[in-house]
Amino acid sequence: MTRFLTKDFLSGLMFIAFGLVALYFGRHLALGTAVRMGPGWVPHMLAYILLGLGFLICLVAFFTVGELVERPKLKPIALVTLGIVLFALMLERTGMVPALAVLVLVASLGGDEFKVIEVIGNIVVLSVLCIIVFKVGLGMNISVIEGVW
Amino acid sequence: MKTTRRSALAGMAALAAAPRAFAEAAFPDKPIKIVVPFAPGSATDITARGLGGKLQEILKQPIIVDDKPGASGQLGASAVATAAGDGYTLLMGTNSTNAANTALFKKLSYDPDKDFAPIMRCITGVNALVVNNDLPIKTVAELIDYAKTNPGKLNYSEASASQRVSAEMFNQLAGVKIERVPYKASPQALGDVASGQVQVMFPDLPQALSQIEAGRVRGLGVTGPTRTPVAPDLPAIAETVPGYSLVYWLAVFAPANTPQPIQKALADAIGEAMKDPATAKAMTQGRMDIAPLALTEFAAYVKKETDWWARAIQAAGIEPE
Amino acid sequence: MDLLNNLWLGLSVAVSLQNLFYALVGCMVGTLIGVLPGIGPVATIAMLLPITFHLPPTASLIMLAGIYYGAQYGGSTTSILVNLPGEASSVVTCLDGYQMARKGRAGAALSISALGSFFAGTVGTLIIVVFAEPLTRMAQKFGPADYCSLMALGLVAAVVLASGSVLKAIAMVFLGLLFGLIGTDVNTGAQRFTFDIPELSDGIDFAPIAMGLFGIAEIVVNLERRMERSGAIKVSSLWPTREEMRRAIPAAIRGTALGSILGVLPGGGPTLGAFSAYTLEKKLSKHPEEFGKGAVEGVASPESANNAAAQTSFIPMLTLGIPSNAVMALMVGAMIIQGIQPGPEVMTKKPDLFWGMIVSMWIGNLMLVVINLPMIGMWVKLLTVPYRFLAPAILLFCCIGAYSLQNSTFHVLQVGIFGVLGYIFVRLGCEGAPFLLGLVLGPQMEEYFRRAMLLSRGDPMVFLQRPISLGLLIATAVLLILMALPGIKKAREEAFQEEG
Repeated sequence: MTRFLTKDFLSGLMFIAFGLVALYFGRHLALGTAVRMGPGWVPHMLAYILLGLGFLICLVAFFTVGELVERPKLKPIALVTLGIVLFALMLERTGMVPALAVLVLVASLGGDEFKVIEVIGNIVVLSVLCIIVFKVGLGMNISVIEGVW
Repeated sequence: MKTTRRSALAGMAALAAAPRAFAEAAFPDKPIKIVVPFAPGSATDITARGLGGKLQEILKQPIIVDDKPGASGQLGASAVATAAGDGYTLLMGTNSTNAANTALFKKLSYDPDKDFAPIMRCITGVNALVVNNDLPIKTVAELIDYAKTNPGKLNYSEASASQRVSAEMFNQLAGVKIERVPYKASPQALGDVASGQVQVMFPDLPQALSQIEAGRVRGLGVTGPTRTPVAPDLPAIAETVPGYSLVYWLAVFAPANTPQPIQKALADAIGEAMKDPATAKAMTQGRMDIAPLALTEFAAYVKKETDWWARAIQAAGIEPE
Repeated sequence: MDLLNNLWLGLSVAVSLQNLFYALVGCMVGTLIGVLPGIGPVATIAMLLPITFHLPPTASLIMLAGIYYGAQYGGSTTSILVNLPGEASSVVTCLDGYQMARKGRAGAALSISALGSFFAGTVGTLIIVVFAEPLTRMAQKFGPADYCSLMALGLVAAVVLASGSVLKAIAMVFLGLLFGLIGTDVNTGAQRFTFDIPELSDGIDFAPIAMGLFGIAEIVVNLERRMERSGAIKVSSLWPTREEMRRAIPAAIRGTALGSILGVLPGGGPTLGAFSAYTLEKKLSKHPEEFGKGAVEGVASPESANNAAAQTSFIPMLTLGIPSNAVMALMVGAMIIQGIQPGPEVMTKKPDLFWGMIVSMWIGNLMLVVINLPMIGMWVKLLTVPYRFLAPAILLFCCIGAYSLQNSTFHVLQVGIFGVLGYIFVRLGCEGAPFLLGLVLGPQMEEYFRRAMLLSRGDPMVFLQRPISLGLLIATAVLLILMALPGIKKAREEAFQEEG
């Protein structure tokens, strides 16, 4: 079983998956001819190459001793991504400072050393810094708190 | 003096009228945002920023130029289409966003017809017809002859729908077949005419003039129905190919549900700003024409233009995507 | 002697108090936006353009040029310190620069990068003065077929960037090419892999991807390692050792030469320059195994190359009035607004402006070194800030920077998506740099390929008939063979070991 959990074998599978996805979503693109190449010519070619390389990588991985993939920890990646998504959703609705506070809070939860005071301090410092740099300094069109400033 | 009296009158009127009217009379009481649906540094962006400076003085409120480029102007245009109709969010629209896109896309993320109140056309411009210097071609007539006697020899480069329509319309009306070579960016497309990779192009006049004056490409004509005062030496293509005409324009739009008085106030202020010669120069880079056309007259113009582009795009054989 | 007279004239213009002031302002603003991920020179120059209406032409151009180089310098800083490439041309700097920083050599990496850039900037300026004309003629000889072959060479070179499996690196290049296809097809207007999202119709921006793949993935991996980084980096001397200098100098010279030539070609000049310089060093080095683990040459050479290319990319604009990238297009705009027609006429009609600007370019580079060297100490101190403070701050700057690209939250979401993808890549041992190069070069290559085929009316022989293209293709083939040989040998050995 461990043969299939090596980095190489799994990355081979990933390339195959991307190739299949590209073929599926590119199926309506016209291939065209060599002179008047259609929009689908290059995507199809790339998809087949990826499939081929993916199989090759899997094959090589199967017959060699590879490095096992580390067991992923879900907390950091999930919380960092959640923080970014929340920031994106909030920025234009609530303004920069609330969005920033949520991002910093959620991202800090992703680490191991979480101290409320430190996180609040970080939020305050970063808010001041961002207002000075982005709003005042670079004059970006972002509201600090929507509807207020 | 004049402004004080006007605001005093407005103030009195406001006192007498309903609170809603008061809000309108006080327009604008916060910064106004002009959304530019194209990249920073594009002609549309430069025009909006040029206008913004003077408008700020006239309206006594900051004007913020907000670039939201992408998808042939669709992203910026939809942002304004869905904004509150209070006069504080405006669009620096063009013949692409507010006329041609209807025919270029099967599905638009906004409705150019119903989502906007036309405020003021600011600028009209034309494309130029340029050819590579090494070709034995000095006039539009010679280009047509050359294309007829050397079939398959000529290619044109294009980087926008308006350039492509200009060329295909020329092919059609002059009865020639110059092959299309598409580009992503206009400067590169023009550069390849200068170096001879392709032979013909219809770039916008501001861009073309810099290369024509430097002698790197040869200017044969302009796409407008008549010559333009900006480049009086370039004949209109229509002088040789009757009926040929293509003009592009830049204009300010507000969201459709903007109250009439605010529309009027904006049109007046923009009209006044464009009277200032320095502002006009900043907006046109000295290479397009200031062409004010306000409110209802402009709305009629937009309708006419939408039909015209739809027909031209169809005639050019461009499929909507 | 004319040249000396001209330079003297330029110097007298450039050192006027006013122009020095604007050069300084430009360099400071440029460094700031360069350090902030995502906020690039294009948006900043566009915002500042209206201000330049009120400045004298020379001063405004000097300021804008200062922003441009400043951003280049600042971009390297974040690449080295936190693995965040500001633009395509500094991706390579991450590979070894960040590794040097992790070994406590951040100060050395930063100072080598600054000095290398200054050297390259000086040479680049001299090249503009002396060789502008012939280089322009060379660039004009490049047709679509030649560009296509050049890109092919670049892509093959990308594989060398990887320090792990060659096969996986090749697959990553192709995956990058596939992602590069997202958007509207130029020739037909067809939508490819856009899933009916209008924001995708112009393709995906480089910056959010680079932030996601490099920056975010790195943060997540560090968070997983239980903050072992907090204060873990011992900062040894800020200055490069004698040995480091001995290795960096020849690399910087080679990088400068390569960058100067590639910079003249429109589209991807600095990027191709940096990538090919890195490839060259890795091939020449006696210790190729050190690359990707903090080799000094891997910082010195691409940093010099991208700065030299940034300088020489002014050449097409100055001699032809044709901008080679978006920043140059804005500079052309600024000149036109001031009533100046860019092109060779500037040299004869407005010699004070032309030579003043050239000399200011050099002064700008000098200023940047003077500004940046003392700041290295400060930057390095930043690394001693505990990671639990630093990580959210980097995340935040990435998000705001991504938003600022087009004032769109969609770009922020892209950072998140590519962060996840980057994390998967790291876990699977797939390297991001070949992917990014494929992504940057792919769309251009397809465009040139199809254009070449259109112009030749479908005859693929055009790639072999043009001497430049043929030469580049031969070089590509040689590089491929050089790369394949040891790879095949190694794979066979491993296979045998496995069975034995």
